Amino acid sequence: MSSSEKKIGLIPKIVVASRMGPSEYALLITDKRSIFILEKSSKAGLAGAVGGVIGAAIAQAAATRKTFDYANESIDNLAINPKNIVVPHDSLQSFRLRKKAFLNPVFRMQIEYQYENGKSKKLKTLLSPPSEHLKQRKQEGVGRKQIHYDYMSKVLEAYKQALSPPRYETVIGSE
Amino acid sequence: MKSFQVILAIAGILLIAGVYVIYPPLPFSNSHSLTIPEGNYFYHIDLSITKLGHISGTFSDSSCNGIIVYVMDDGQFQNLKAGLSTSSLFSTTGTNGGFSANIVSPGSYHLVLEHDLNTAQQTVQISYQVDGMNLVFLGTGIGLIVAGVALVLVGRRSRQRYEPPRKHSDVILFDKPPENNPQPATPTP
Repeated sequence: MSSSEKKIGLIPKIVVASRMGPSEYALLITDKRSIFILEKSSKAGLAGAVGGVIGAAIAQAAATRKTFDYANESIDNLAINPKNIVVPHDSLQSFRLRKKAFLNPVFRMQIEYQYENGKSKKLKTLLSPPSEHLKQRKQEGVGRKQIHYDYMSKVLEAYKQALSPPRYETVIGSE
Repeated sequence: MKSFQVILAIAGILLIAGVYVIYPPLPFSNSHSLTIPEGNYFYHIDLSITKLGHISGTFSDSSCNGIIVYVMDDGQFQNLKAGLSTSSLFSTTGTNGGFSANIVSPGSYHLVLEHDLNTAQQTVQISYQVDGMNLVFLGTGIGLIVAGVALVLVGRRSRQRYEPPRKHSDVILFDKPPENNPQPATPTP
């Protein structure tokens, strides 16, 4: 798949909630697929069951983040890792972006795609800009709401480039 | 396991232990109708107290001969049992009234009821409750939480040394010209 596959965009931080706790992924978008690359996973859910809020917070703080050189790393190397989630764009059924809550500026991204066995799978994520990005934009005088909106817009822009115009129109929806 | 993870794990244990220690238990109360037999006898109610810090209650002697009520710690009670002279945390005499004593440290405590004017059999109604916060537990809990918070700060600082900064902090569009597209900063040594 990689011979003619082209990297389109990189979303540096996306949070996927699971039973074990929130995991941080980077999202590499190519013209053929979206690869969610696991950077940081915690056992906050498990620690929370044992130690309550404190246990969960400590487990989250103790988790380490891996970084990759996304510009130079081969797409196949990232896609082959079983910890990463690969969503071929041909299997995309819907892509929804919406604000998490009235007062919360974070956007949810929900991707529905057809899994290997033909079943539909939903991937619910949060578009959460990295803290370095938030800090830098705040120093530039940009408000929190605007920072999150811009981050979401860039994700949309990346998908606009990655998908063909009719496919983009069919799949993408935002509220 | 990296050193900051060990530090944070210890911090977590201290914080959870601190909250457990400082968390006030439910107060408990009880009432009895009891008889002090005729003769040189006394009646005692044994209480095992860990986190609570205050015993209080009321008593009433229906025979009107009067009783002596003591609140004693275990050492004082053992002296009383051995027939030695002893002090008490609290004592009062009368046909009815109240008692109250602070619990300094966790352990066994005793409510002792003794004949006063004569040694005839007496029927006494007594009710008591144990409540309040034990200062030893309060201090220990606060100490554990402070130590836990301090270790969290140390752990977070130590973690920053292990965790490399992100190469990309903003969305990258790979085929856009650099002026419209933030690129990773070249790390300076």
